[in-house]
Amino acid sequence: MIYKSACKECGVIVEYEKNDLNHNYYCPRCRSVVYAPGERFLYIIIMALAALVSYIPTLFLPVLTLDMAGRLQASTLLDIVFTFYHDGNFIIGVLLFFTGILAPLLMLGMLLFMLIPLHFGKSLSGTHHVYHTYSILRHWAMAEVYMISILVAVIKLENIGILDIDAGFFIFIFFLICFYIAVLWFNPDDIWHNDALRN
Amino acid sequence: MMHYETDLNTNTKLCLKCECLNSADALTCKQCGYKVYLRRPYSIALTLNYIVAALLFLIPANLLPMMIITSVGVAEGSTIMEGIRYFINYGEASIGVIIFLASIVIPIYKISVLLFLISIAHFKWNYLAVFGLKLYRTIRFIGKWSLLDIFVVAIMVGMVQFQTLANVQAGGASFAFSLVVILTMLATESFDPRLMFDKERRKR
Repeated sequence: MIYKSACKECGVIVEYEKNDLNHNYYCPRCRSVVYAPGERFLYIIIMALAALVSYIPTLFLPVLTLDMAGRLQASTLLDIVFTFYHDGNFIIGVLLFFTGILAPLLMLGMLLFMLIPLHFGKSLSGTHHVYHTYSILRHWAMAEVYMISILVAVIKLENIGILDIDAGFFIFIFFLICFYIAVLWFNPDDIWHNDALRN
Repeated sequence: MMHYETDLNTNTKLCLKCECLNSADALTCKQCGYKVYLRRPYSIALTLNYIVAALLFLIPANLLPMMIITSVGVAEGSTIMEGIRYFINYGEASIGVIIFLASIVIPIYKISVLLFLISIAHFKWNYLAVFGLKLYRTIRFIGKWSLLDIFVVAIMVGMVQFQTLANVQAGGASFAFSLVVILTMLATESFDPRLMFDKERRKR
């Protein structure tokens, strides 16, 4: 079935096949992606669950251990955030907590909330509100920036003491990979016309 | 130049949430119920507002210390540029270049690209619109990476807490700089790229 829509970035009217699972559709004028088929809901749900499971240990396992003149300090992701509350610089603490920790978790929760009912062929009435929040959060989830900044901080701290990268860091990388695969596979168009994807 | 059918000359309105076409007099989307606009309301004014605010905060972000390192009782602050120079002097030039790109080049690049896009939309330089859209995609993609330096400071503050022996505190620049990044991200999101392609200026 032909579906008529307009390009989000330049306003040209475009037409594409609804639920076409094999082709990407591009805008004829600005070449932006108008429609890209998403992966099956079941695969996305599995990826999101894997990310969620690996997310819990990253919060409580130490990411880095700093050994300075015999004194050890192990830090988890949450510890790093909470030192800001003690310092009084809580705006940066809130920013870090929200972009690095809370936003990915909320996005995963929303993905599961939207897709699990759709997978079983039901559609909840609140889905479009959830998707609205999800699309805003997509710009503000920065867990990958957090990961790279851990690497930069490792190099910066090398001169201060002996540094160990702990298990939490590797689980964090695993979480990031699963999280971004789930986000990339998910195509919001499928929420609105999902009849062919249910099986 | 080829003639394209757009939402303007076919009398339709696109819902940005669910990509559903509505008739031009619709106020809310027929599919998802959110408000629909022909173009994002007050797009250029909002973008300019955020840019001016970001430019103002860029000054303290570069002059104040990013972090204050206290080591055996001696407190020492370092600005963004001093931090970069530290890396280059101590043989970690690649990290220095990354931080230089993330915290100095990218904010300035973002602000200048947005000003260029606004002038395309305002002066109707339609032949530049496709090029402008390419620039717009780059700033939307790299936007969040300028928070890298803030996150590094945050991790150092969290890690190095040995009371009197060594202590790291966040300086004033970290606050100003995170505001710069947030404001430029808001500016990018409130700009509507379709304004660059429109042939006629519309009345509000």
